[in-house]
Amino acid sequence: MKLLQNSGIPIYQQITDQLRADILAGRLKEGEYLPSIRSLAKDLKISVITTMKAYEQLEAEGLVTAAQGKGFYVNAQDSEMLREQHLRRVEEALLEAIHAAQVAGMTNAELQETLTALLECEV
Amino acid sequence: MKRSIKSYLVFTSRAYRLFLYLGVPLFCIGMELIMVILMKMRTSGIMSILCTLIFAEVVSDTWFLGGIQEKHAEKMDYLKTSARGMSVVKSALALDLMRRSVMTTGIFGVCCLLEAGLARRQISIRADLVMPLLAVFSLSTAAVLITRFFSYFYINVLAGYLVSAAAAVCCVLLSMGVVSVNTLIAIYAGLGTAAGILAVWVAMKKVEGGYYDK
Amino acid sequence: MESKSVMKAVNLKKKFKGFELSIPELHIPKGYATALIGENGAGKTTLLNLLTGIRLDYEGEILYFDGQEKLSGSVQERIGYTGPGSYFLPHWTVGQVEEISEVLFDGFHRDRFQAVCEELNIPTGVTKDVKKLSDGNRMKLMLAAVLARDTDLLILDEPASPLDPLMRDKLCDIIREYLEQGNGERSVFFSTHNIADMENVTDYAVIMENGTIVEQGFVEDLKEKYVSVKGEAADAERAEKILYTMNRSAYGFEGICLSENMDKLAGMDICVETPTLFQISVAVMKANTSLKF
Repeated sequence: MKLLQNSGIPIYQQITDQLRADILAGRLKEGEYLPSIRSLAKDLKISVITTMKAYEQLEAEGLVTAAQGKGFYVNAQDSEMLREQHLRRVEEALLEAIHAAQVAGMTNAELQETLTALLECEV
Repeated sequence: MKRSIKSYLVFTSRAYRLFLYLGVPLFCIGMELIMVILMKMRTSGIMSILCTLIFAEVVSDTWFLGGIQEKHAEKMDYLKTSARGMSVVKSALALDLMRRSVMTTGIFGVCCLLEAGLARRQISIRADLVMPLLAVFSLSTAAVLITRFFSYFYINVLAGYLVSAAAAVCCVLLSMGVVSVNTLIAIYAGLGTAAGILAVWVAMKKVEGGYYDK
Repeated sequence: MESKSVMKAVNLKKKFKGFELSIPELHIPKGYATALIGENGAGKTTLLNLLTGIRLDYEGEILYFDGQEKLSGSVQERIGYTGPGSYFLPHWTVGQVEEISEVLFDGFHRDRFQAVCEELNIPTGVTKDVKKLSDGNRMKLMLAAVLARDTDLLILDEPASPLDPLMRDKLCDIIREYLEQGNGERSVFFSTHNIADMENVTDYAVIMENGTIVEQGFVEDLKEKYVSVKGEAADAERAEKILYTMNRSAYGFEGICLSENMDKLAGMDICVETPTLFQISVAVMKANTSLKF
């Protein structure tokens, strides 16, 4: 996990984002326990309360559940919801690309061409 | 008892133990052998042993409880964070007095035995054992009662020097017949009792006072 | 956020000449690291001394470990304290500190003490007196003595001040590791002036001024309660009435605003940021100090 101290994004938010990504991508499996709050705090060299806040946020999003005295485990991910989350991420990334294209003064046709070209490369 | 002895021992560093438990007795017995038995200088020999012991007791106290009654020493926070802290200090203070009397008795006892055995001399328990023993105990205890107010090595040296000089003067007065052995024993016993009680009481009052405002 | 308390006190009062400590209610959360912040003379050391039980004449009641126990020998066994001033007798050697600790505390482990001494590079020569140690090494020695014991609460009075930057980082690691091993049962309460250095290990903050607590809370909550605001000089006049504390110059203003008052800044050209614990602490101290700015 990479945490940036001066990025302007709160540390707890960075943890939440990265763990969310891990869960949605299936890198953290259903039923798997997250590291304990205090050991994650120790490993990331941050305060316990920051880790706690990150986990509580994941819990509020329904991604994990707190088990009394045992920590937080990953919930079963609804495949419909999972797909929606993925779609949202794709939209976000594309929007970012569109903004970048506007800044660079690309036309819509040029942008679409680039996307097609990239898709061909990938496949 | 085991814990009390441990409490006392932990207050002494290894250097202190080597010096006081080994160096000093060996030195005193060496002096007895050379001055009293070989050179037959009895009075000055005993006097030297007595003064050496007093001096060593007072000086070595710097490394034992030096400065325990000092102005700011009442804090000693580490001791106070333990429920046993105060009893540990008390044991150390009391056992130091016991150690001093036992060690002095031992040294003068060995000296008497050496004289009786090697020099075939008649030994007087009162003059050759009780008097020097009480002299060392009372004068050194009285001196450390004062020096523990300072954590300054040279104060101990000065005090040690003064009281051993006082002991030497008493020895001289005794040999001149100005005072009798019984008078000296009575004076030393009185001083020793008072100094012994005060040494524990003053230090404890100081250390326990750290829990409260004055 | 809800939490159990490792220490709590009600109506804590202590009078000195020209100073009075008066804390109506104190709560130190269990399982976390709590920082005690405040000006010199605010009463931090006095409060820590009362909580540690090395000062006994005070009014009020202090309860330890879930509010169950009063100070006793067994409670003291579970508390490790490091402090300024005369802590050890000056002529004690490092070896003696080890021997004395074993007599003073049941849960003292000599092997652990030696391991910490080695880890922290404390000079342990037989003849090395405590008084000959540097302030930093003396602090490390106190930590070693405390960490070698089985405790559930550490009370550390200014642990960071005598330490170099590298060792401060190490101190933070030590605190985090201590908390991790306790798995929610161990707590740390430390006073500090080095807020920025300790921020990444502080879960809960207690800020004192003039002998009383003026602000306290979980750091993440405090960061939501206060907002750091920067704005243009033209708005400074109006902003000054709204902000909690403010600095102004010819170029603009900056300060800390309570979140609940943020809407009153509507219409101003401002930038907002999440404040650091250091910024919050300075703002709270500034708002309550008797120092003149």
